[in-house]
Amino acid sequence: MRIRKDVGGLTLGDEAAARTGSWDPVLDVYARGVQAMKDLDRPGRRPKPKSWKWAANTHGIDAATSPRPAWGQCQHQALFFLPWHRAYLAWFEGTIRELTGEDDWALPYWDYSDPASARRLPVEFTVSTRTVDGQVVANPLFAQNRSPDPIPAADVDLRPALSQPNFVLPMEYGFGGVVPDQYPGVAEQLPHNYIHVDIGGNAGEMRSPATAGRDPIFWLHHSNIDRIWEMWRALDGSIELTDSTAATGALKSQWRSASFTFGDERRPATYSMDDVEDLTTPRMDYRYESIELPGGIAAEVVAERERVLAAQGGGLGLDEAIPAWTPVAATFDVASGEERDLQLEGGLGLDGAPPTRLMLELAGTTATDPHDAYVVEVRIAPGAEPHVVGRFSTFGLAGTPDDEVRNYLVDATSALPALLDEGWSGAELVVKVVPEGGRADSEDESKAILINQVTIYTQTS
Amino acid sequence: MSTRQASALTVRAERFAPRAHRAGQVVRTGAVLAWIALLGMSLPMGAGMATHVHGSLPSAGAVTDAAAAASVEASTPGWVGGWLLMTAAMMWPLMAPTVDRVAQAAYPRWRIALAATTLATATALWLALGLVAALAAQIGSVPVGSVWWQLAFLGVAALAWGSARRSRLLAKCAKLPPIAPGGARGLKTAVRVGLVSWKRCALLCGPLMIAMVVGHNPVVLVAASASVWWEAWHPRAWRDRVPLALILVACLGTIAGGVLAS
Repeated sequence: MRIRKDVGGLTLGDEAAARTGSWDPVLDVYARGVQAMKDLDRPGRRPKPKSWKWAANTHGIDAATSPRPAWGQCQHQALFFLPWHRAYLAWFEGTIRELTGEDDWALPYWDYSDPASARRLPVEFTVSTRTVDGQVVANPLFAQNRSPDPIPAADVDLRPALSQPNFVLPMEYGFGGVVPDQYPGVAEQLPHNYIHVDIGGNAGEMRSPATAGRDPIFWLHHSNIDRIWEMWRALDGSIELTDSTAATGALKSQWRSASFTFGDERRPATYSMDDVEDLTTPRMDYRYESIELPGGIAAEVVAERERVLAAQGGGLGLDEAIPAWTPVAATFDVASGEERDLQLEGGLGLDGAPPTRLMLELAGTTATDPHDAYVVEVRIAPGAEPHVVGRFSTFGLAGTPDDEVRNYLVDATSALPALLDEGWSGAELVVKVVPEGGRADSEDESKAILINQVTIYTQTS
Repeated sequence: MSTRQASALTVRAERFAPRAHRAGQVVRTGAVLAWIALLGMSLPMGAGMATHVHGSLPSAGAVTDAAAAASVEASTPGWVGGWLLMTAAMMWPLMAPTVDRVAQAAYPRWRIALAATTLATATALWLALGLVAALAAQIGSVPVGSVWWQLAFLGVAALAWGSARRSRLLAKCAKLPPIAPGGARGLKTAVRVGLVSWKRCALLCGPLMIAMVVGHNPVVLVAASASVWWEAWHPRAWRDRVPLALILVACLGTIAGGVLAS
């Protein structure tokens, strides 16, 4: 079985050495494979199924590229985000092996969440040239316009994803997604989306799903996301989609019967869900060098999972009734930075049974040039103290087609005690979405997002 | 998984099911009643190969020599009633999850209105499509129960089956636009949801439905329905052959029905 290794243990760690020295064989094969794929792309010619452009276009295409059935397949804001990308990586990995003749080669992963990591790109990806057989050549792993800044620590935090034992939940983020299936899961949001915008910077290819696959670091990033899925699956108490009561019979059937196709449209490489879910199958045949939780978060993750599972009634929701989410207010066409005072339908009657949970849905979000990330604030009335209840990254939001608008969920339950302490009447709630502070583009007033509909949902015991 | 866990999961599943899910149940019940009506209309003709036709024949039954010579008449109440029954039988089960979604997104006092609006929109659009197709058949003097008409559109459905673009559309079927929870905006978005859902369904299942505009026998109706329902449960199965096999069964049913009628 092949082993996907941490690039942190393979990198030379020094740009000068990366320009002139010998690279670790894993990265050397990767560079040779990427170059071979790029060599298959000829200007003005149709891309070939094993070419770099075809592989990148399979993920997404920009407005200037004519669509093909095999292109623009990426699954985002979807329960199939993780399995689709796993199959996609396996297909890509097979292409590199075929073009280099290195049958034992496996894609490395980039563990930016490792406490020992500087959260910077490995130097093999940042130098524009390298030395091969004494000749200075262009480095195929280099890409223009990436952000040179280190990734913010908050953007590599694995605790939210790994602390969620449910793969899917109704109207709230599970590890892998939500029912209904048009929201991201926790892992897709953080770290996945954040890493994309952090590396993409202002104009890098990683910033958009349409171009992300063109950046060679994309594949190591997704290898790590795939590894995080394996970490989650190895944790005690994780509830897979097929074991979840949140998933309908139809959804389980869709999951089990899903297959993923890549490459030549007449003879595509096809991966079934059975292939994808089990890394020991011949179509996968790899394992990760490590799926251990980073030492600093292990205890916290385990404790939080126990708390969540206990709240579900002994791990599988044995004893507690789980109320449905009920919409109580909505407002429309909200721009970021705009404060909206939502009147709650009939009031919440806080004297009787106050809500036990509070959820905000931001549906139909669009933008042409959004900030990297936003936070959501709530307050009991205009002018009252704001409470930041959640954040989201805008990866994939810029130029989103009308039929693929983005939806986000923000769990505001953590603010409920403070709202009640402040004398919240339950008749109104003020909501505001603002750019996240402390980021390079935080003060840029030309950037904004538009939210078609903000809905407040509550649960009441 | 232990027995205790399994039974607990069942309990929890029931608790996950909010009241809004009743909207989908009502729709499914309507579909069952439509099936009972359709099959009941066919039974007297016997042998399971009777041809159910709409409108231009005195009763829903096998194509007689006289009827076979008659062309489709789309404007008759009988045709409209038969087409609506078929829409409810075949398409409402596919609409049920969407109707549930609309009901869940609505304020409690708006659930029925919004869910009904979405269902009515999709049903009305199916009726419109059926009327257009039937008028085309009428103008072309296509006889009731025309085997060639049915085979032509079943053939279109079979050819479209392998399309990669169609496969991509199938995977998108469940994505819906935002649904306002009530008021005029709620009604407007419920209409939009019905329109979006219908548009996808029409692209995916339209040829099968249009095949039955001129009349069909129960074998065709059952096989076509099973084909679209199977796809709804397996939308991401690449070039799954089961729907194609069911379309071929419908073709055979059409041919057999034509032979029996002649």
